[in-house]
Amino acid sequence: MNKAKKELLLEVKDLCMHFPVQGSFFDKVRGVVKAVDGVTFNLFKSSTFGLVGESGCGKTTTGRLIMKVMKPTGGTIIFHDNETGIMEINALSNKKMRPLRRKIQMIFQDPYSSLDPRMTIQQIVGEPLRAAGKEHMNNYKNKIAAILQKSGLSADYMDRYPHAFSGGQRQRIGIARALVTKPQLVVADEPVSALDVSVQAQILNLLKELQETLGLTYLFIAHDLSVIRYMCDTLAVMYVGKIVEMGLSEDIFNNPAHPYTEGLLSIIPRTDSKTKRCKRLTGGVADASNLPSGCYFHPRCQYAKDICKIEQPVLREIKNDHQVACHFSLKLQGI
Amino acid sequence: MEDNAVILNIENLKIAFKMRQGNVTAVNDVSFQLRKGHVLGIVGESGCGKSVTARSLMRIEAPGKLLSGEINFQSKSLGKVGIQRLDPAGELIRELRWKEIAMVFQEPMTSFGPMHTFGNQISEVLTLHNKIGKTEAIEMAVESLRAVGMPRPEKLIKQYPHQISGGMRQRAMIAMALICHPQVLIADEPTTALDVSTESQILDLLAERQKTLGTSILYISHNLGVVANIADEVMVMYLGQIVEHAPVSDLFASPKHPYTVALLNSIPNIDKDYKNQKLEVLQGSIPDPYNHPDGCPFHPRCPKLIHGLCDMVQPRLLDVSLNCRVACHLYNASQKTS
Repeated sequence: MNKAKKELLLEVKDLCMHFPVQGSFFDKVRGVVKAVDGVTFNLFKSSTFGLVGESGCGKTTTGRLIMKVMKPTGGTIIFHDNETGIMEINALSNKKMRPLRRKIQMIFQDPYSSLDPRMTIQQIVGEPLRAAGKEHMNNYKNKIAAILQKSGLSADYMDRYPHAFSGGQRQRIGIARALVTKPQLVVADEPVSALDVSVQAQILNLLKELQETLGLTYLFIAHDLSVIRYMCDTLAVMYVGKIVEMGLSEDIFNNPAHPYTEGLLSIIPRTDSKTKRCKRLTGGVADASNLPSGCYFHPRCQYAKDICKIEQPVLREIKNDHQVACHFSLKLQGI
Repeated sequence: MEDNAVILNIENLKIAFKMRQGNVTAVNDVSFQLRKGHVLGIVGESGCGKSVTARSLMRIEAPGKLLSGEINFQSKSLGKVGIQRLDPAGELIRELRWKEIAMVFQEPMTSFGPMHTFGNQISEVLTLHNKIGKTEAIEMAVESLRAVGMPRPEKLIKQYPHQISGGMRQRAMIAMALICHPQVLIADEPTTALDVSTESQILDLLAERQKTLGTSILYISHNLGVVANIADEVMVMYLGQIVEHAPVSDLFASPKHPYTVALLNSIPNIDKDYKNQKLEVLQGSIPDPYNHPDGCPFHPRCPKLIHGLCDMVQPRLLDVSLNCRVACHLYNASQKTS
């Protein structure tokens, strides 16, 4: 993508979400879990930004903070809206946030629990329109029928209930619900990880098609690196609340600069028998309530030196649009 | 026992579930063999019958009903046993369960009882099957936990399942499954609930234990990459039937059945730049279990459908080359003409 064509949609600056850890009943707060700790990235219009990492790395929390499901403990989220101008989402009151909600929508992971079993498809898909206010209610049925068709479902399904649909169809309903208000940003939190392989491919292709036709911007959260590679233009790899590597998808997959990214890529089981899993990623993800000193990744890192135990590396640019938080990233790249 | 001897021989297995809307045949005419020291992978999408097949080997297929077929097991203590004839709640099957055929379940969260310590749960297996005391059993439990790379096993045996992480719990599960040195280990999606880094550790562990103990493993997964890494041979199932069965290198290098081909094409390749390319998608979805299609179960979605044949006649699982079996008219026809 040409750099001049990039139009900023969302800026996330130094985002923090520190959850308090409760001690025993009479104790006061004992400490904090830094679920998201100083995350900074930009989302550009009509592109897909991926967030990837193992469980507990803060990728879902980041997505939820952008949706304003909860209030961040620090940092700013700035939404560049072409109608209302630049808005700082995190500072808005719930009331002021309402008109913005239809512009930022979410696709959930589990198509079984994210649809209300007692609502018809029409009610489910129409709910964001009803919530957006009266001015969005004209052509109510037509809007729903149109978005259902775009999502690969028949408009005849409108009066059925979710139980009549398979997992893949349910996820299509979830997508239709997210897109019915013509959002600019869609936060997709593991949208395909609960689906079977053949259905997963259908949904991924559908998301790509919809992006092309509707000019959507995705924040795509997933743990599956191959799905991320297929979907994303740019991506960030997260580890215990921090971004450890960020850049263009092809750069990261072809030349990973952080030992964690390199480890993750090497251990993915591949069907191609020639590329066996080689390097190992030993140990488990660091405990967020009891973090190691220095670089959080150093106990698992095969390149760790003394400095990694003392000093926490900052995210810095190693080449255009490629940032890494590692003391030795340049050496890894052989530069 | 000599190497490569068949320890499990399954023939024409048929399992059905009785539902309000009618009978659902979950496993239909499945035959395969498991050899000593081999890892046999079963892959397929949800509802293809892979888990039920595996569960029937321990006779825990309920509420499914084993309608017909044979499961012949070469037991160490009982000789040749026809597992299909055993009472699922009887003495004999309980003699075999865990001692000769053990299982690692998918959910490490729910497969341990929350009310007992690991020490209690793991040593119970030993005291049930061997004439040993509790203290000795606990000692052996510690040893087996150490063998799966558990740090501080002495401490762990006093802990409860909620106190440790999912990956550690799955390690404990494997330790518990292997503690009686079973001949067959059934691994039903053991890494599906885990992170990639934990997954790779568990896979390495299983492979290592399998080599040292000579256990045969029936490895069930929907993740083709995982199966490609651990299995010696792979069976692909679709709607309760085996559609392809081949050595792992053949299956992934030259898949034969259109379903296998489509399945492999529909996973995004991590080593490929996609840019603006799209994935090749298998159209449609898995049919409703109550309306089993006539003829080949895959024909409504098959890109290579032959009208008048595939929708009428069910293809049989036939050998197409050495150790390769495919149930598809494309190959059966060519076999007849050649």
